[in-house]
Amino acid sequence: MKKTVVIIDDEIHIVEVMVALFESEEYELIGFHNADEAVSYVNTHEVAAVFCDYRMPGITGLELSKCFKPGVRFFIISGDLELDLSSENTVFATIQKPFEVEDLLSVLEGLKHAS
Amino acid sequence: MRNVCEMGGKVAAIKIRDGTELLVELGRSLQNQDEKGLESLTSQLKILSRFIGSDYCCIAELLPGSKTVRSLVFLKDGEVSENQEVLLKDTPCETLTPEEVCQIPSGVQQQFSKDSRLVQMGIEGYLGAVILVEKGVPIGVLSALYKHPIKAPDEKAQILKVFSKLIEEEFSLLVKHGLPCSLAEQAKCPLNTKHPSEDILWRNFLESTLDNMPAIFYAKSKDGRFIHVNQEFLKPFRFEREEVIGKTNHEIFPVEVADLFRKTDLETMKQKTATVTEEVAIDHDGDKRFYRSYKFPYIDENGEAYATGGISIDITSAKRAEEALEVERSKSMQNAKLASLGELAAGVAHEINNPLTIILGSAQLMKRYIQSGDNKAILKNSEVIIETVRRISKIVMGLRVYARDSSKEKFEIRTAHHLVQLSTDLLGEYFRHSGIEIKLRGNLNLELEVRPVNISQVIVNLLTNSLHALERFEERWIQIECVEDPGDSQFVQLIVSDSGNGIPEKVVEKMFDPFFTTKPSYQGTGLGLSVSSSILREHGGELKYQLLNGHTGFILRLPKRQRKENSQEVA
Repeated sequence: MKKTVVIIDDEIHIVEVMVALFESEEYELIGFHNADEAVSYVNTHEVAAVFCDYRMPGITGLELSKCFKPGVRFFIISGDLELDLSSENTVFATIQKPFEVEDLLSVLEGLKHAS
Repeated sequence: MRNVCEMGGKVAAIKIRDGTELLVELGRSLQNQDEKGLESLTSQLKILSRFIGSDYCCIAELLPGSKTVRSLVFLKDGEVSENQEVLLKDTPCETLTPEEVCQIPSGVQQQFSKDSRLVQMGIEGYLGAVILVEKGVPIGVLSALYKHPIKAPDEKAQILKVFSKLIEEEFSLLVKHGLPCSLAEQAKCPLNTKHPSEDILWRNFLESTLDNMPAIFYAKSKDGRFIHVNQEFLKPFRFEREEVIGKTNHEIFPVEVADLFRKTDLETMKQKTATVTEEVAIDHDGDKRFYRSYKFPYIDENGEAYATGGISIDITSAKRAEEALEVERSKSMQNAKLASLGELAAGVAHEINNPLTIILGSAQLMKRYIQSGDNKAILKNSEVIIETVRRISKIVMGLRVYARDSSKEKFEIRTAHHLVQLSTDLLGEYFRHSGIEIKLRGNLNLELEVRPVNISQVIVNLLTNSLHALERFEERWIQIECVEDPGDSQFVQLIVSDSGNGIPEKVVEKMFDPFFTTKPSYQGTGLGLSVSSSILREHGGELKYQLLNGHTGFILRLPKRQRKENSQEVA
């Protein structure tokens, strides 16, 4: 069975590109550009990981991370230069935009071994 | 006081035919130790006057310039009368020579018809001798006047000559000590120092004054030749006085400097009034020196200018300080821009990294679609890339505001919409994330002749202030309205207001001052509003704060077109 990975970004193009890039036999990609919809989906489904933008209208990725059920692997993907969320326990890791496809894939690989 | 024997020796050396009586009387007078100075001279003159039988008798000093005499003792009918000051011109005294006594036994009125005093006093005969000091310099005049033709004039002339020798020392002492002048008179005329060589003293006095003056002095003749310069003039150019006197400006200064000097000299002589100009010269070390020059004409008795004088004060250090201040000001404007760039950096980085993510992702997808031959997907992704690259260049264009010194930017005609767009493009990301609504109102198609980057910098400053201020408000909007100035159709008002409720009065008082800020130090330099307001002034406009329906508002008032000198930059 495919594992579900959730993408949250207010930029539609980013969501589209990421879904197209990482969609595979192994992963099913589901994208959101609205934070509320994403929260209700994640909290009612089994998800392997959440990749979320930091700056979004009215809310930050960090604020959003606290809305999810416990145990969700939550990654921040951000274009901000000086973002340091290492002390936040709701955030698994931060990935800098723009990112290489391989880097993100290796993050997903790592998850497989961890679970 | 005086050595009588010596005086006697002198007297004996002069042969006279019948001066015994006079000598006896004078000898007695000279021995009278109680009488001093003027008193002694007066009694001696009385003796002389009685002896030669003159109606008037007078001892007078020659005043500086040798044009006027002033009597020390004036006797009428042998008694002291009021002292007089007389111009020598056209009087018998003018004809005196140090060598001999002047005798005009009769007809003196006819001979000196211009001398009205002679008529008034009814003078017929004249005797006069020059009083000299030892070096032969004339210092005074001794004269005797007769209402009738003079009998035995030769004899009387001889006596006069002897007498003039006798009183030389007494007289010179008197003149030297300035006794004839009352203290008040001396104060009025400090140059009248009583000394034998008045002309030399006068010149020395002037030269010392000029040479010790902490300013440059020069006088030039009508044809532009230097007549006099002081020490201060010679210093910066390391001239010797001989190298300058008699030369023209063009012979000692570079042509462009000399041209300017000559021009102001001619103007001063033409206008016959003093002028103040700023002049530049290159000194011996090749450095530029700035002067404030006060030039004035020398006017002769016919009212014509015959020379120009000038006093120049070195204002180089003041000028340098002014220039340094201007450089500082321009630097701090640049710093202010860099500081606000710092504020915006995070937002801008985010704004650019997002599209970069899209481009990178789309390009990688295209590689895949090329392998699978999915042309439709390739086309779609290439369009996404093109659109996204354009988005980035728009942001980079917005950054021009901060990237360079835009004070030399050209004036260009732009619509208000274009200017607002430049600013909002840069801050778009901020607005979206802060949930601030941007409302555009009025006629944004109005055209303005501005330095576009400068004006959008002002708008960015105002918008950034609003962004910070609105953080504590629930209702968040910024409105930009463009209208024609209701008071003057040649002006346009760009009104930037926000949902804030105004600025505290204490802040309003100071907010246009440089370095005033309400933000913590890491957020702002406090130069925003002062820089903005100086940009508006450079445009011939102004920046005003105003409460609009209870909301914070700033009005940028700008002329639709620039004055000619600014407009020429457009060409």
